[in-house]
Amino acid sequence: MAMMMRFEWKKIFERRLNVAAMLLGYVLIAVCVFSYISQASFYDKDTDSYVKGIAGIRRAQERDNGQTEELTDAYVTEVIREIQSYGMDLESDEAYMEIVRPLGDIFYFTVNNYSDMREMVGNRNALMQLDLTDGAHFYEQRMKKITDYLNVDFSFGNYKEAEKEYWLQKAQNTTVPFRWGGKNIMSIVQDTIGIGFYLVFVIIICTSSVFSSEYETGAAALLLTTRHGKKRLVQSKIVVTLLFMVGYLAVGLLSAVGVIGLLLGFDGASLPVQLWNSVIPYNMTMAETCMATFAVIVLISAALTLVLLCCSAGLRSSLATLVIGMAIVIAPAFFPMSKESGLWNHINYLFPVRAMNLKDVLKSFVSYTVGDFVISYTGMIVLVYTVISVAALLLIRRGFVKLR
Amino acid sequence: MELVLDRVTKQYKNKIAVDRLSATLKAGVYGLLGANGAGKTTLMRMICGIAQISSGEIRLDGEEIGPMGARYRDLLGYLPQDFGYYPNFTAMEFMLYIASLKGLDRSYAKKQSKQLLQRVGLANEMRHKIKTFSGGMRQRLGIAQALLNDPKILVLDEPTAGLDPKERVRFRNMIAALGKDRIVLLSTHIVSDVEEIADWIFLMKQGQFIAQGTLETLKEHYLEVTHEEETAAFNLEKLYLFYFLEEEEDYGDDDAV
Repeated sequence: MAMMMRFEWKKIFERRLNVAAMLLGYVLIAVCVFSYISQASFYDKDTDSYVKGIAGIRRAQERDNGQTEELTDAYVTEVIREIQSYGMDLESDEAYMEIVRPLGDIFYFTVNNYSDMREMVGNRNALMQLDLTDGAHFYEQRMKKITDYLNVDFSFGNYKEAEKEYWLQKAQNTTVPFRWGGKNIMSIVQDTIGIGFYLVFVIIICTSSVFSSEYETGAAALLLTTRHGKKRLVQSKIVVTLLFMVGYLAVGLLSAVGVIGLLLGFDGASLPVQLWNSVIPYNMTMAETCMATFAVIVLISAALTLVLLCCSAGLRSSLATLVIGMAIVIAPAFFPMSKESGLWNHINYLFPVRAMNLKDVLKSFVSYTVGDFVISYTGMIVLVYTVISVAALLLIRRGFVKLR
Repeated sequence: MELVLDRVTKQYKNKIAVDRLSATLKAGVYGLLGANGAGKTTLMRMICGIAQISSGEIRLDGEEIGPMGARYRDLLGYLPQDFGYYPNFTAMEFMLYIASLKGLDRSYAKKQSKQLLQRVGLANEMRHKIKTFSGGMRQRLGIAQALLNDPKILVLDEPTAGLDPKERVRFRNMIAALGKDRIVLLSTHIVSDVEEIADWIFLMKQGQFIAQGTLETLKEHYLEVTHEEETAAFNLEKLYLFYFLEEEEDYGDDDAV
């Protein structure tokens, strides 16, 4: 089997289209990482200038780390009180220069916590109206925000009581007060891992021909008459393709993360994921979230790989398989969310284009119910893609060896 | 060893590609002669277990080949017509790949591959990539891979296609030698190939055997169907042309299905 796998590996790497796609994928990662770092900037009040790139990221980290260790209610109250003391319209340019820019992330984070969950951009001036007599009630506001969202009358269907209870319980179990610090580096790491979605196109290209090319070249007639042509060959092709998929993603993404680590370190890795969005109801650190994102990308890619191997074996056409793979990944990006059908929306959430974005998944409060049993969005992603993988795995061999 | 074809039929929707063929094959060289579209390749694919039999049975020593699975494939060597080689593999890599599929031990596979490549005259090219090979060299490599597992049933679909006359003669001799202790079934358009080496010849047309026998019995058959006087000048080509002249003039379809 080792010998067979070695040659299957060789077949993948000797196809020019595959190699070109692989290199292009890695170039994309390099360009993205370069742009994330080079575009980062930090406003230096002392010199009234922007510090860019690596130095800018480091300065922003220093600023955020120096603000506070824990985001206590008292600290947030102080921050909001300071903001209110300016008495400015927080949407104005003047406020941006005087308040927003120097405060940095903590300003946006605080505004976001006091905004409605359905608002894409929070209402900054809401901070000016806050009554701080008894403090900012930051964490009560967080729970209120979540509760309000769970009780919204949605046109496509409302949350069931079991779901509300599930999410509120999860949100309440989140460790508070949040630890505070610089999240810039970990945001870059998370965005870099998110590029994995685009690498899926490379995997589709390389996977589409694994079985079908044997039929297209006529080699299948020979392979299927050999002792292991109907079983071990299929197994070795599956194993090699999955190894290739994991290897390609791991080498590309983890090398990029490694380079970021070498340049910037991993300061902020142990901060809670809530610093990306205070409503996230999971007790996870940023590092854990990055690893989970990678795991989800690998899981979905594995399912997609197995589905495409199934198509490649059954349809016996590389082009048809390639088209199907591209359609699965690209088409759902254009599927709108329905205003009437909750069922459609719940299906729509599960397509790779949405399911691979774990940062959005964690804050979305999407859940699936079977009676009173609630399955979270993340749980459903794992379940659905595992089932798809197993089903495809069982069908691949049948497709390849079926006599016609 | 006895391979029995028992009313073997292959039907594609409305077209019958192989029509109730029966034959018993024992050790020896069997030539399958017919025009394009006669059903030769389909029959060979059924014997190799890669095309479904619509009705009838193929049995090896009384056992149906389908359920035999890997046990049957262990006994099989197959050279398909026009099959894709992996252009970036070297000849040796290709042999080792097929050997691994045939379940041969690695060291034995290496030894056997070297010997076979030498036997087909590719010893000096074993480290060269297949994409640099001529059609004849690829065909020789195809024959070498078919022999890797020392098969008891050797099925060769157009084995001499692409070979130059000198190579063809060499292969005829090799095939004749191989037929001494195994079943060798070869299809061809080239009448002289089977005439020289086949112990038994099947003439195939529209999915049926229209004539079969040794060269001697086919000669008698020829005289019978053409009502010609016996002459010393009989050769198989005359019989072939008698049956296939019309088809050869306007043939179109390839018989690979």
